[in-house]
Amino acid sequence: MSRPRVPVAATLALICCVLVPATLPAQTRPTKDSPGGRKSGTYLELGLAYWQGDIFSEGSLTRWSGDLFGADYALTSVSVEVDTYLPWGSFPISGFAIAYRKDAISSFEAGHMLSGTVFHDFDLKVLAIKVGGGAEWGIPSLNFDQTAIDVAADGTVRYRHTYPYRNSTVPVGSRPNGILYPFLALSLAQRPGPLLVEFGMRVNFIRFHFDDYEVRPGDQVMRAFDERQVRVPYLFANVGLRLF
Amino acid sequence: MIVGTLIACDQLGPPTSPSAPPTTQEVALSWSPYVGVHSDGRAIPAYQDALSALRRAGRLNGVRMELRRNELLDPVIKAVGSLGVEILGLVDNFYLFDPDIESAIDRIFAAYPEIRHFQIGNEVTTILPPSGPTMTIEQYAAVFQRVYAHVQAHHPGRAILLTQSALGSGLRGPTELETLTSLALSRMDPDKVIVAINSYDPANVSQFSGLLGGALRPFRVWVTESGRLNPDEQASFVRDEYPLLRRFLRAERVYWYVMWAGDQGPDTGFSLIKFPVSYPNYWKSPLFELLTEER
Repeated sequence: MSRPRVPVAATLALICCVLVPATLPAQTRPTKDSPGGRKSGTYLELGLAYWQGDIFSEGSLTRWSGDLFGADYALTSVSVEVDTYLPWGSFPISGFAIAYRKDAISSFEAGHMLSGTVFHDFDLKVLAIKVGGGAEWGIPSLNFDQTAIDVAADGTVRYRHTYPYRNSTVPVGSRPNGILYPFLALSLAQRPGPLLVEFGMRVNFIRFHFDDYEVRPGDQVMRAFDERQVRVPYLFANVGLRLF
Repeated sequence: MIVGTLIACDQLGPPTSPSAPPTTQEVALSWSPYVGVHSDGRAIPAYQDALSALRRAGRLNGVRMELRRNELLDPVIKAVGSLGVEILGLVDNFYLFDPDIESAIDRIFAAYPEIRHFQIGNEVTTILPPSGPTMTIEQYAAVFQRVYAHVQAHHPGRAILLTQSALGSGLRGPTELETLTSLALSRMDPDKVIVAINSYDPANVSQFSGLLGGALRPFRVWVTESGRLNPDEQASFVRDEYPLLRRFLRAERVYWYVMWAGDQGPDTGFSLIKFPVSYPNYWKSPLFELLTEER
Protein backbone atom coordinates (compact mmCIF):
# COMPACT_ATOMS: atom_id res chain seq x y z
CA MET A 1 0.00 0.00 0.00
CA SER A 2 1.37 3.38 -0.90
CA ARG A 3 1.67 5.96 1.78
CA PRO A 4 -0.95 8.71 1.75
CA ARG A 5 0.38 12.00 0.45
CA VAL A 6 1.68 14.20 3.23
CA PRO A 7 0.39 17.75 3.31
CA VAL A 8 3.62 18.98 4.87
CA ALA A 9 3.47 22.29 3.04
CA ALA A 10 -0.09 22.86 4.16
CA THR A 11 0.79 21.98 7.73
CA LEU A 12 3.80 24.31 7.79
CA ALA A 13 1.77 27.09 6.21
CA LEU A 14 -0.87 26.69 8.84
CA ILE A 15 1.70 26.75 11.62
CA CYS A 16 3.24 29.92 10.16
CA CYS A 17 -0.17 31.53 9.97
CA VAL A 18 -0.63 30.75 13.62
CA LEU A 19 2.78 31.82 14.86
CA VAL A 20 3.71 34.87 12.79
CA PRO A 21 0.90 37.17 13.91
CA ALA A 22 1.64 36.15 17.45
CA THR A 23 5.25 37.29 17.30
CA LEU A 24 4.25 40.90 16.81
CA PRO A 25 2.38 41.49 20.02
CA ALA A 26 4.89 39.26 21.74
CA GLN A 27 7.53 41.93 21.25
CA THR A 28 5.76 43.96 23.89
CA ARG A 29 6.01 43.00 27.51
CA PRO A 30 3.10 40.73 28.42
CA THR A 31 0.71 41.67 31.17
CA LYS A 32 1.50 40.05 34.48
CA ASP A 33 -1.40 39.13 36.71
CA SER A 34 -0.02 37.53 39.83
CA PRO A 35 2.04 39.26 42.51
CA GLY A 36 5.07 37.27 41.40
CA GLY A 37 4.73 38.63 37.91
CA ARG A 38 3.27 35.44 36.49
CA LYS A 39 0.38 35.65 34.09
CA SER A 40 -2.35 33.24 35.08
CA GLY A 41 -5.55 32.48 33.25
CA THR A 42 -7.76 29.93 31.55
CA TYR A 43 -7.75 29.65 27.77
CA LEU A 44 -10.03 28.01 25.26
CA GLU A 45 -7.93 26.60 22.46
CA LEU A 46 -8.50 25.12 19.04
CA GLY A 47 -5.82 22.95 17.58
CA LEU A 48 -4.59 20.97 14.66
CA ALA A 49 -2.37 17.93 14.89
CA TYR A 50 -0.53 15.99 12.28
CA TRP A 51 0.63 12.43 12.71
CA GLN A 52 2.91 10.47 10.48
CA GLY A 53 4.73 7.23 11.09
CA ASP A 54 8.08 8.47 9.93
CA ILE A 55 8.22 11.90 11.53
CA PHE A 56 11.42 10.69 13.13
CA SER A 57 12.86 8.12 10.87
CA GLU A 58 16.10 6.34 11.55
CA GLY A 59 18.99 8.70 11.26
CA SER A 60 17.10 11.61 12.70
CA LEU A 61 18.36 13.44 15.74
CA THR A 62 16.38 11.20 18.04
CA ARG A 63 17.62 8.00 16.42
CA TRP A 64 14.14 6.66 16.88
CA SER A 65 12.73 4.49 14.19
CA GLY A 66 9.14 5.26 13.36
CA ASP A 67 8.79 1.88 11.80
CA LEU A 68 5.39 0.50 12.62
CA PHE A 69 5.33 -2.32 10.14
CA GLY A 70 6.17 0.18 7.47
CA ALA A 71 5.05 3.14 9.56
CA ASP A 72 2.32 3.58 7.05
CA TYR A 73 0.01 5.85 8.91
CA ALA A 74 -0.74 9.50 8.54
CA LEU A 75 -3.65 11.49 9.81
CA THR A 76 -4.74 14.93 10.78
CA SER A 77 -6.66 15.72 13.93
CA VAL A 78 -8.56 18.68 15.29
CA SER A 79 -8.93 19.44 18.95
CA VAL A 80 -10.55 21.70 21.46
CA GLU A 81 -8.79 22.25 24.75
CA VAL A 82 -9.11 24.22 27.97
CA ASP A 83 -5.75 25.23 29.45
CA THR A 84 -5.39 26.72 32.89
CA TYR A 85 -2.19 28.53 33.91
CA LEU A 86 -2.07 28.62 37.68
CA PRO A 87 -1.16 31.85 39.50
CA TRP A 88 1.88 30.19 40.97
CA GLY A 89 4.57 28.82 38.74
CA SER A 90 6.30 26.53 41.16
CA PHE A 91 7.79 23.29 39.91
CA PRO A 92 6.58 20.77 38.84
CA ILE A 93 3.01 21.83 38.07
CA SER A 94 2.16 25.29 36.86
CA GLY A 95 -0.96 24.43 34.93
CA PHE A 96 -3.29 21.78 33.64
CA ALA A 97 -5.44 21.11 30.58
CA ILE A 98 -8.29 18.96 29.46
CA ALA A 99 -8.87 18.29 25.78
CA TYR A 100 -11.01 16.51 23.24
CA ARG A 101 -9.30 15.49 20.01
CA LYS A 102 -11.01 14.15 16.92
CA ASP A 103 -8.73 11.89 14.94
CA ALA A 104 -9.86 10.47 11.61
CA ILE A 105 -12.13 13.39 10.88
CA SER A 106 -14.12 11.54 8.25
CA SER A 107 -15.06 8.73 10.65
CA PHE A 108 -17.97 9.13 13.03
CA GLU A 109 -17.34 5.86 14.88
CA ALA A 110 -13.69 6.12 15.80
CA GLY A 111 -11.02 8.63 16.72
CA HIS A 112 -12.65 10.25 19.74
CA MET A 113 -10.03 10.98 22.41
CA LEU A 114 -10.19 12.76 25.77
CA SER A 115 -7.06 13.74 27.63
CA GLY A 116 -5.89 15.34 30.83
CA THR A 117 -2.49 17.04 31.07
CA VAL A 118 -0.42 18.65 33.78
CA PHE A 119 2.44 20.86 32.70
CA HIS A 120 5.12 23.24 33.77
CA ASP A 121 5.92 26.31 31.68
CA PHE A 122 9.37 27.84 31.79
CA ASP A 123 9.11 31.55 31.01
CA LEU A 124 11.89 32.62 28.66
CA LYS A 125 10.48 36.16 28.28
CA VAL A 126 9.89 36.00 24.50
CA LEU A 127 8.11 32.71 24.81
CA ALA A 128 7.63 29.87 27.20
CA ILE A 129 8.66 26.27 27.02
CA LYS A 130 5.94 23.93 28.20
CA VAL A 131 6.74 20.43 29.36
CA GLY A 132 3.83 18.25 30.26
CA GLY A 133 2.42 14.81 30.53
CA GLY A 134 -0.85 13.09 31.05
CA ALA A 135 -3.19 10.35 29.99
CA GLU A 136 -5.52 9.96 27.05
CA TRP A 137 -8.62 7.80 26.75
CA GLY A 138 -11.10 7.09 24.01
CA ILE A 139 -11.90 5.13 20.85
CA PRO A 140 -8.78 5.22 18.71
CA SER A 141 -8.68 5.87 15.03
CA LEU A 142 -8.36 2.89 12.72
CA ASN A 143 -5.51 4.63 10.93
CA PHE A 144 -3.04 2.70 13.04
CA ASP A 145 -4.46 -0.72 12.15
CA GLN A 146 -2.49 -2.50 9.48
CA THR A 147 -2.57 -5.96 7.93
CA ALA A 148 -0.10 -7.32 5.43
CA ILE A 149 -1.12 -10.51 3.66
CA ASP A 150 0.96 -12.84 1.55
CA VAL A 151 -0.43 -15.83 -0.34
CA ALA A 152 2.13 -18.43 -1.35
CA ALA A 153 1.92 -20.54 -4.48
CA ASP A 154 0.91 -23.60 -2.46
CA GLY A 155 -2.06 -21.73 -1.00
CA THR A 156 -0.48 -20.95 2.36
CA VAL A 157 -1.74 -17.61 3.63
CA ARG A 158 0.45 -15.55 5.95
CA TYR A 159 -0.57 -12.29 7.46
CA ARG A 160 0.47 -9.86 10.16
CA HIS A 161 -2.08 -7.68 11.88
CA THR A 162 -0.74 -4.68 13.81
CA TYR A 163 -3.02 -2.52 15.90
CA PRO A 164 -3.30 -0.58 19.14
CA TYR A 165 -4.34 -2.87 21.97
CA ARG A 166 -7.75 -1.92 23.31
CA ASN A 167 -7.15 -1.91 27.05
CA SER A 168 -10.15 0.10 28.15
CA THR A 169 -13.87 0.36 27.65
CA VAL A 170 -15.88 3.24 26.33
CA PRO A 171 -19.52 2.65 27.25
CA VAL A 172 -20.77 2.48 23.66
CA GLY A 173 -20.88 -0.71 21.63
CA SER A 174 -18.87 -3.86 22.11
CA ARG A 175 -16.17 -4.23 24.74
CA PRO A 176 -13.29 -3.62 24.94
CA ASN A 177 -13.36 -0.79 22.45
CA GLY A 178 -11.25 1.87 24.12
CA ILE A 179 -7.67 2.69 24.76
CA LEU A 180 -5.86 4.42 27.62
CA TYR A 181 -2.23 5.48 27.40
CA PRO A 182 0.22 8.00 28.81
CA PHE A 183 1.93 10.74 26.86
CA LEU A 184 4.59 13.43 27.14
CA ALA A 185 4.46 16.79 25.40
CA LEU A 186 6.93 19.57 24.69
CA SER A 187 5.87 22.87 23.19
CA LEU A 188 6.65 26.53 22.70
CA ALA A 189 3.93 28.92 23.77
CA GLN A 190 3.27 32.64 23.68
CA ARG A 191 0.47 34.43 25.47
CA PRO A 192 0.23 37.93 24.00
CA GLY A 193 -2.68 39.84 25.47
CA PRO A 194 -5.74 37.64 25.59
CA LEU A 195 -4.34 35.23 22.99
CA LEU A 196 -2.39 32.03 23.27
CA VAL A 197 -0.43 30.37 20.51
CA GLU A 198 1.38 27.12 20.92
CA PHE A 199 3.35 24.75 18.74
CA GLY A 200 4.85 21.50 19.84
CA MET A 201 5.18 17.80 19.76
CA ARG A 202 3.56 15.09 21.73
CA VAL A 203 4.69 11.48 22.08
CA ASN A 204 2.06 8.91 22.98
CA PHE A 205 3.14 5.64 24.54
CA ILE A 206 0.70 3.16 23.02
CA ARG A 207 0.78 -0.59 23.45
CA PHE A 208 0.50 -2.33 20.08
CA HIS A 209 -0.21 -5.93 19.19
CA PHE A 210 1.78 -7.63 16.45
CA ASP A 211 -0.12 -10.76 15.49
CA ASP A 212 1.22 -13.23 12.93
CA TYR A 213 -0.92 -15.96 11.39
CA GLU A 214 -0.01 -18.70 8.97
CA VAL A 215 -2.79 -20.84 7.50
CA ARG A 216 -1.64 -23.81 5.48
CA PRO A 217 -3.81 -25.84 3.11
CA GLY A 218 -5.99 -28.11 5.21
CA ASP A 219 -6.58 -25.36 7.76
CA GLN A 220 -3.40 -25.92 9.74
CA VAL A 221 -2.99 -22.67 11.63
CA MET A 222 0.16 -21.30 13.26
CA ARG A 223 0.03 -18.16 15.35
CA ALA A 224 2.67 -15.94 16.95
CA PHE A 225 1.51 -13.01 19.04
CA ASP A 226 3.67 -10.20 20.32
CA GLU A 227 3.02 -6.85 21.93
CA ARG A 228 5.15 -3.89 22.78
CA GLN A 229 4.90 -0.24 23.58
CA VAL A 230 5.37 2.04 20.60
CA ARG A 231 6.15 5.74 20.78
CA VAL A 232 3.72 7.48 18.48
CA PRO A 233 4.52 11.17 18.00
CA TYR A 234 2.58 13.99 16.44
CA LEU A 235 3.05 17.69 15.85
CA PHE A 236 0.43 20.15 16.97
CA ALA A 237 -0.43 23.82 16.77
CA ASN A 238 -3.01 25.53 18.96
CA VAL A 239 -4.52 28.98 19.09
CA GLY A 240 -6.49 30.12 22.11
CA LEU A 241 -8.39 32.94 23.69
CA ARG A 242 -8.31 33.79 27.34
CA LEU A 243 -11.63 33.11 29.02
CA PHE A 244 -10.84 34.46 32.49
CA MET B 1 -11.32 24.21 1.79
CA ILE B 2 -9.43 23.57 5.03
CA VAL B 3 -11.95 20.93 6.06
CA GLY B 4 -11.65 19.31 2.65
CA THR B 5 -7.88 19.25 2.97
CA LEU B 6 -8.09 17.72 6.43
CA ILE B 7 -10.40 14.97 5.29
CA ALA B 8 -8.31 14.33 2.22
CA CYS B 9 -5.13 13.80 4.20
CA ASP B 10 -6.99 11.74 6.77
CA GLN B 11 -8.12 9.06 4.36
CA LEU B 12 -7.70 5.48 5.43
CA GLY B 13 -6.54 4.12 2.12
CA PRO B 14 -4.14 5.10 -0.61
CA PRO B 15 -5.05 8.29 -2.45
CA THR B 16 -7.03 7.70 -5.59
CA SER B 17 -8.93 10.05 -7.77
CA PRO B 18 -12.64 9.26 -7.64
CA SER B 19 -12.79 9.66 -11.39
CA ALA B 20 -9.90 7.30 -12.09
CA PRO B 21 -11.32 4.02 -13.34
CA PRO B 22 -9.74 0.98 -11.75
CA THR B 23 -7.28 -0.92 -13.86
CA THR B 24 -7.19 -4.67 -14.24
CA GLN B 25 -4.00 -4.75 -12.22
CA GLU B 26 -5.44 -2.69 -9.36
CA VAL B 27 -8.52 -4.86 -9.14
CA ALA B 28 -6.49 -8.05 -9.32
CA LEU B 29 -4.24 -6.82 -6.53
CA SER B 30 -7.16 -6.22 -4.17
CA TRP B 31 -9.52 -9.00 -5.23
CA SER B 32 -10.15 -11.99 -3.01
CA PRO B 33 -10.93 -15.08 -5.10
CA TYR B 34 -14.19 -15.96 -3.40
CA VAL B 35 -17.79 -15.36 -4.50
CA GLY B 36 -21.24 -16.12 -3.19
CA VAL B 37 -23.44 -18.17 -5.52
CA HIS B 38 -27.21 -18.49 -5.19
CA SER B 39 -28.56 -21.89 -6.04
CA ASP B 40 -30.83 -21.69 -9.08
CA GLY B 41 -31.01 -24.53 -11.56
CA ARG B 42 -31.83 -22.18 -14.45
CA ALA B 43 -28.41 -20.60 -14.08
CA ILE B 44 -26.27 -23.74 -14.16
CA PRO B 45 -24.88 -23.32 -17.72
CA ALA B 46 -24.11 -19.64 -17.16
CA TYR B 47 -22.63 -20.39 -13.73
CA GLN B 48 -20.40 -23.06 -15.21
CA ASP B 49 -19.26 -20.71 -17.93
CA ALA B 50 -18.72 -17.68 -15.68
CA LEU B 51 -17.09 -19.57 -12.82
CA SER B 52 -14.81 -21.38 -15.25
CA ALA B 53 -13.78 -18.05 -16.77
CA LEU B 54 -12.94 -16.69 -13.33
CA ARG B 55 -11.06 -19.84 -12.50
CA ARG B 56 -9.06 -19.75 -15.74
CA ALA B 57 -8.12 -16.17 -14.95
CA GLY B 58 -6.95 -17.21 -11.50
CA ARG B 59 -9.67 -15.15 -9.83
CA LEU B 60 -11.66 -17.91 -8.16
CA ASN B 61 -10.74 -20.36 -5.43
CA GLY B 62 -14.05 -20.86 -3.71
CA VAL B 63 -17.74 -20.09 -3.49
CA ARG B 64 -20.27 -19.74 -0.71
CA MET B 65 -23.55 -21.55 -1.31
CA GLU B 66 -26.61 -22.05 0.83
CA LEU B 67 -27.56 -25.57 1.90
CA ARG B 68 -31.32 -25.22 1.88
CA ARG B 69 -33.42 -27.20 4.27
CA ASN B 70 -36.01 -28.15 1.68
CA GLU B 71 -33.45 -29.56 -0.74
CA LEU B 72 -30.91 -31.85 0.85
CA LEU B 73 -28.99 -32.71 -2.30
CA ASP B 74 -28.72 -29.58 -4.41
CA PRO B 75 -27.72 -30.25 -8.05
CA VAL B 76 -26.41 -26.70 -8.46
CA ILE B 77 -23.97 -27.21 -5.60
CA LYS B 78 -22.84 -30.46 -7.14
CA ALA B 79 -22.44 -28.80 -10.56
CA VAL B 80 -20.42 -25.92 -9.11
CA GLY B 81 -18.35 -28.29 -7.02
CA SER B 82 -17.47 -30.30 -10.12
CA LEU B 83 -15.57 -27.24 -11.39
CA GLY B 84 -12.99 -27.84 -8.69
CA VAL B 85 -13.77 -24.80 -6.56
CA GLU B 86 -13.88 -25.04 -2.79
CA ILE B 87 -17.37 -24.67 -1.36
CA LEU B 88 -18.29 -22.93 1.87
CA GLY B 89 -21.65 -24.45 2.78
CA LEU B 90 -24.03 -22.02 4.40
CA VAL B 91 -26.39 -24.01 6.59
CA ASP B 92 -29.84 -22.47 6.08
CA ASN B 93 -31.18 -20.44 9.01
CA PHE B 94 -34.26 -22.68 9.16
CA TYR B 95 -32.08 -25.63 10.17
CA LEU B 96 -31.39 -23.72 13.40
CA PHE B 97 -34.93 -24.38 14.61
CA ASP B 98 -34.64 -28.13 14.07
CA PRO B 99 -35.03 -29.78 17.50
CA ASP B 100 -32.64 -32.48 16.30
CA ILE B 101 -30.09 -30.33 14.55
CA GLU B 102 -27.42 -32.95 15.29
CA SER B 103 -29.12 -35.41 12.93
CA ALA B 104 -29.52 -32.64 10.37
CA ILE B 105 -25.79 -32.00 10.50
CA ASP B 106 -25.17 -35.75 10.02
CA ARG B 107 -27.35 -35.71 6.90
CA ILE B 108 -25.64 -32.60 5.52
CA PHE B 109 -22.19 -34.09 6.06
CA ALA B 110 -23.27 -37.28 4.31
CA ALA B 111 -24.79 -35.39 1.38
CA TYR B 112 -21.79 -33.13 0.83
CA PRO B 113 -18.59 -35.05 1.58
CA GLU B 114 -16.70 -32.58 -0.62
CA ILE B 115 -17.49 -29.64 1.67
CA ARG B 116 -15.18 -28.93 4.58
CA HIS B 117 -16.27 -25.46 5.72
CA PHE B 118 -19.79 -25.02 7.04
CA GLN B 119 -21.28 -21.74 8.13
CA ILE B 120 -24.01 -22.23 10.70
CA GLY B 121 -26.61 -19.62 9.80
CA ASN B 122 -26.37 -16.11 8.44
CA GLU B 123 -27.45 -12.80 10.02
CA VAL B 124 -29.83 -14.84 12.13
CA THR B 125 -31.17 -12.00 14.22
CA THR B 126 -32.03 -9.72 11.32
CA ILE B 127 -33.04 -11.53 8.14
CA LEU B 128 -35.52 -14.09 9.40
CA PRO B 129 -39.02 -12.90 8.48
CA PRO B 130 -40.97 -11.67 11.52
CA SER B 131 -43.92 -13.77 10.42
CA GLY B 132 -41.98 -16.96 11.09
CA PRO B 133 -39.74 -18.13 13.90
CA THR B 134 -37.04 -15.66 14.87
CA MET B 135 -33.92 -16.05 16.95
CA THR B 136 -31.91 -14.01 19.43
CA ILE B 137 -28.14 -14.15 19.55
CA GLU B 138 -28.39 -15.95 22.90
CA GLN B 139 -30.56 -18.66 21.33
CA TYR B 140 -28.16 -18.86 18.41
CA ALA B 141 -25.20 -19.29 20.77
CA ALA B 142 -26.89 -22.33 22.31
CA VAL B 143 -27.54 -23.87 18.89
CA PHE B 144 -24.00 -23.16 17.68
CA GLN B 145 -22.64 -24.76 20.82
CA ARG B 146 -24.70 -27.89 20.18
CA VAL B 147 -23.48 -28.14 16.59
CA TYR B 148 -19.88 -27.57 17.65
CA ALA B 149 -20.07 -30.21 20.37
CA HIS B 150 -21.70 -32.71 18.02
CA VAL B 151 -19.14 -32.21 15.27
CA GLN B 152 -16.19 -32.53 17.65
CA ALA B 153 -17.67 -35.65 19.26
CA HIS B 154 -18.96 -37.48 16.20
CA HIS B 155 -17.05 -36.02 13.23
CA PRO B 156 -13.66 -35.01 14.63
CA GLY B 157 -11.51 -33.36 11.97
CA ARG B 158 -14.33 -33.48 9.43
CA ALA B 159 -15.25 -29.82 9.27
CA ILE B 160 -14.38 -26.27 10.17
CA LEU B 161 -17.39 -24.30 11.41
CA LEU B 162 -18.09 -20.65 10.71
CA THR B 163 -20.25 -18.56 12.96
CA GLN B 164 -23.30 -16.82 11.62
CA SER B 165 -22.28 -13.59 9.94
CA ALA B 166 -22.35 -10.58 12.19
CA LEU B 167 -23.46 -7.35 10.57
CA GLY B 168 -20.31 -5.49 9.71
CA SER B 169 -21.03 -1.89 10.65
CA GLY B 170 -22.78 -0.06 13.40
CA LEU B 171 -23.19 -1.41 16.91
CA ARG B 172 -25.51 -4.41 16.51
CA GLY B 173 -23.12 -6.82 14.83
CA PRO B 174 -20.18 -6.19 17.17
CA THR B 175 -22.40 -6.31 20.26
CA GLU B 176 -23.91 -9.62 19.15
CA LEU B 177 -20.46 -11.00 18.39
CA GLU B 178 -19.39 -10.00 21.89
CA THR B 179 -22.35 -11.94 23.30
CA LEU B 180 -21.61 -14.95 21.11
CA THR B 181 -18.00 -14.84 22.26
CA SER B 182 -18.85 -14.82 25.93
CA LEU B 183 -21.55 -17.50 25.62
CA ALA B 184 -19.84 -19.87 23.21
CA LEU B 185 -16.69 -18.95 21.29
CA SER B 186 -14.52 -18.37 24.34
CA ARG B 187 -14.83 -22.07 25.16
CA MET B 188 -14.14 -23.34 21.63
CA ASP B 189 -10.96 -24.37 19.85
CA PRO B 190 -9.96 -21.53 17.50
CA ASP B 191 -8.51 -24.09 15.10
CA LYS B 192 -12.01 -25.43 14.54
CA VAL B 193 -14.06 -22.26 14.27
CA ILE B 194 -13.81 -19.22 11.99
CA VAL B 195 -15.52 -15.92 12.77
CA ALA B 196 -17.71 -14.61 9.93
CA ILE B 197 -18.63 -10.99 9.31
CA ASN B 198 -20.68 -9.43 6.52
CA SER B 199 -19.31 -5.99 5.76
CA TYR B 200 -20.48 -3.60 3.08
CA ASP B 201 -19.03 -0.51 4.82
CA PRO B 202 -15.39 -1.24 5.65
CA ALA B 203 -14.63 2.22 7.02
CA ASN B 204 -17.05 1.70 9.90
CA VAL B 205 -15.90 -1.49 11.55
CA SER B 206 -14.05 0.02 14.49
CA GLN B 207 -16.27 -1.69 17.06
CA PHE B 208 -14.86 -5.07 16.05
CA SER B 209 -11.26 -4.11 16.77
CA GLY B 210 -11.31 -4.70 20.51
CA LEU B 211 -12.95 -8.11 20.16
CA LEU B 212 -10.65 -9.27 17.38
CA GLY B 213 -7.63 -8.16 19.38
CA GLY B 214 -8.97 -9.57 22.62
CA ALA B 215 -11.03 -12.70 23.16
CA LEU B 216 -11.14 -13.47 19.42
CA ARG B 217 -7.44 -12.88 18.84
CA PRO B 218 -6.65 -16.53 18.00
CA PHE B 219 -9.66 -16.92 15.69
CA ARG B 220 -9.50 -16.48 11.92
CA VAL B 221 -11.89 -14.02 10.28
CA TRP B 222 -13.66 -14.37 6.95
CA VAL B 223 -15.82 -11.65 5.45
CA THR B 224 -18.57 -13.77 3.98
CA GLU B 225 -20.43 -10.98 2.17
CA SER B 226 -19.25 -7.70 0.76
CA GLY B 227 -19.81 -5.64 -2.35
CA ARG B 228 -21.42 -2.61 -3.89
CA LEU B 229 -24.95 -2.42 -5.27
CA ASN B 230 -24.09 -0.24 -8.28
CA PRO B 231 -22.42 -2.33 -11.02
CA ASP B 232 -20.47 0.71 -12.20
CA GLU B 233 -18.90 1.05 -8.74
CA GLN B 234 -18.10 -2.63 -8.15
CA ALA B 235 -14.54 -2.45 -9.43
CA SER B 236 -13.78 0.72 -7.48
CA PHE B 237 -15.17 -0.96 -4.37
CA VAL B 238 -12.80 -3.88 -4.80
CA ARG B 239 -9.84 -1.60 -5.40
CA ASP B 240 -10.56 0.82 -2.57
CA GLU B 241 -12.54 -1.09 0.07
CA TYR B 242 -11.28 -4.68 -0.01
CA PRO B 243 -7.89 -3.55 1.34
CA LEU B 244 -9.68 -1.90 4.27
CA LEU B 245 -11.47 -5.15 5.13
CA ARG B 246 -8.12 -6.89 5.34
CA ARG B 247 -6.51 -4.01 7.16
CA PHE B 248 -9.12 -3.50 9.86
CA LEU B 249 -10.69 -6.95 10.24
CA ARG B 250 -7.63 -9.03 9.23
CA ALA B 251 -10.03 -10.71 6.84
CA GLU B 252 -8.34 -13.77 5.43
CA ARG B 253 -10.99 -14.07 2.74
CA VAL B 254 -13.62 -11.74 1.31
CA TYR B 255 -16.58 -13.25 -0.52
CA TRP B 256 -18.22 -11.02 -3.12
CA TYR B 257 -21.99 -10.89 -2.73
CA VAL B 258 -23.01 -12.29 -5.22
CA MET B 259 -22.51 -13.95 -8.61
CA TRP B 260 -26.18 -13.51 -9.54
CA ALA B 261 -28.85 -11.95 -7.34
CA GLY B 262 -31.71 -12.23 -9.81
CA ASP B 263 -32.39 -10.13 -12.89
CA GLN B 264 -34.60 -7.80 -10.88
CA GLY B 265 -35.09 -6.97 -7.23
CA PRO B 266 -33.28 -5.01 -4.59
CA ASP B 267 -30.02 -6.97 -4.71
CA THR B 268 -29.64 -7.35 -8.46
CA GLY B 269 -27.01 -4.58 -8.59
CA PHE B 270 -24.56 -6.80 -6.70
CA SER B 271 -24.60 -9.34 -9.54
CA LEU B 272 -21.46 -10.14 -11.48
CA ILE B 273 -23.63 -11.70 -14.18
CA LYS B 274 -27.30 -11.26 -15.13
CA PHE B 275 -29.82 -12.91 -17.42
CA PRO B 276 -28.16 -16.33 -17.10
CA VAL B 277 -30.99 -18.00 -19.00
CA SER B 278 -29.70 -16.14 -22.05
CA TYR B 279 -26.54 -18.22 -21.91
CA PRO B 280 -24.21 -17.89 -23.74
CA ASN B 281 -25.21 -14.25 -24.19
CA TYR B 282 -25.66 -13.39 -20.54
CA TRP B 283 -24.75 -9.96 -19.15
CA LYS B 284 -21.41 -9.47 -17.42
CA SER B 285 -20.68 -6.63 -15.01
CA PRO B 286 -17.69 -4.33 -15.56
CA LEU B 287 -16.00 -5.95 -12.55
CA PHE B 288 -16.50 -9.40 -14.01
CA GLU B 289 -15.01 -8.21 -17.30
CA LEU B 290 -11.95 -6.83 -15.49
CA LEU B 291 -11.52 -10.01 -13.48
CA THR B 292 -11.65 -12.26 -16.54
CA GLU B 293 -9.57 -10.05 -18.81
CA GLU B 294 -6.68 -11.83 -20.49
CA ARG B 295 -3.47 -11.22 -18.61
